[in-house]
Amino acid sequence: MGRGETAVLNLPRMKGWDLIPLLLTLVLAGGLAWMGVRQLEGQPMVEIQTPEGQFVYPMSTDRYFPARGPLGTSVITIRDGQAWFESSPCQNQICVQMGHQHEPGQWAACLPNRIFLRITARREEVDVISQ
Amino acid sequence: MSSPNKEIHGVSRRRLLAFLSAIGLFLAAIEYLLPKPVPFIRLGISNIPLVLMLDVLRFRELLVLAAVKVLGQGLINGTLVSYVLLFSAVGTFTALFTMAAVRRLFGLRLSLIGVSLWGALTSNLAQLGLSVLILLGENAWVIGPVILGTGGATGFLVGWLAQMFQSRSVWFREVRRALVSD
Repeated sequence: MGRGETAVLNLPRMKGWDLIPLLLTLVLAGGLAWMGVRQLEGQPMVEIQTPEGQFVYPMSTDRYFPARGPLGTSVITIRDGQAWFESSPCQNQICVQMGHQHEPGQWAACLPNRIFLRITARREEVDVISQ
Repeated sequence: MSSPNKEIHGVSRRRLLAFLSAIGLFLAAIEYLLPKPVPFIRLGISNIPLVLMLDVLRFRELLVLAAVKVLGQGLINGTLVSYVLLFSAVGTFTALFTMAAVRRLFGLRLSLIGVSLWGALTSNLAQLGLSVLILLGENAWVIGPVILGTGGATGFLVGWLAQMFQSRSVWFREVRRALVSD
């Protein structure tokens, strides 16, 4: 570079029409988040979705739940107002690493074993629901 | 119509396709090494060759590139014989069809960042829809905000990197000039 020349960092820039997919993404993500937040008032519950059905337990009662999926059994623990994947037969162990969930709206999932854990809320008193 | 073996700057279309597929698999391997904090979320850098070559390769060549990416990624991740392959295929091909369609519709009014954002959005929506149908039922919508939010961010990154490479690479400029006039 010669004397007096300045380096121009020519980074890619967005064009006006690029904003359409960006705004659509934000609107859809925000809309889904808003719909989720609307359902979070009441007694905290743990919803566990497995290939065998959906199970709902209150957060106030400690228990182990063996959730059976195509790979084997994922063990979910509910204790001290928290729920988490204790162990899972999946290869990547992301579900276990997602850690403890306690706030309504939080979730963890083992996709290879098709198990989904979600903290939700219900207005009525519930002991156990299975569907 | 030119032969797939016709040489362009010493490289045949077929060899270029093989080279781009190899780059895609290399990027998929890099991606596999990165930790994933949440299921479903990927950086998506293995899509860069697909986004980059959207205006250069023929559509059927892009389909081959996408198919090799899906199968190779399945092989690298160990998910070749699982439902994850279906998710990967649905996501990749939805993104490819969308990106090709918006490119035709909007032309150069859209940068590669916009093209990639469209691809990421429709790919994530297709995978969410598939999750509702075969994996998690209505619960799948709960993970929607995270999937769409991070998908938007990674879609932006992939488009930005592709746009940067497109504007700076001499190799790309030569290949595009040769292939587009071919």
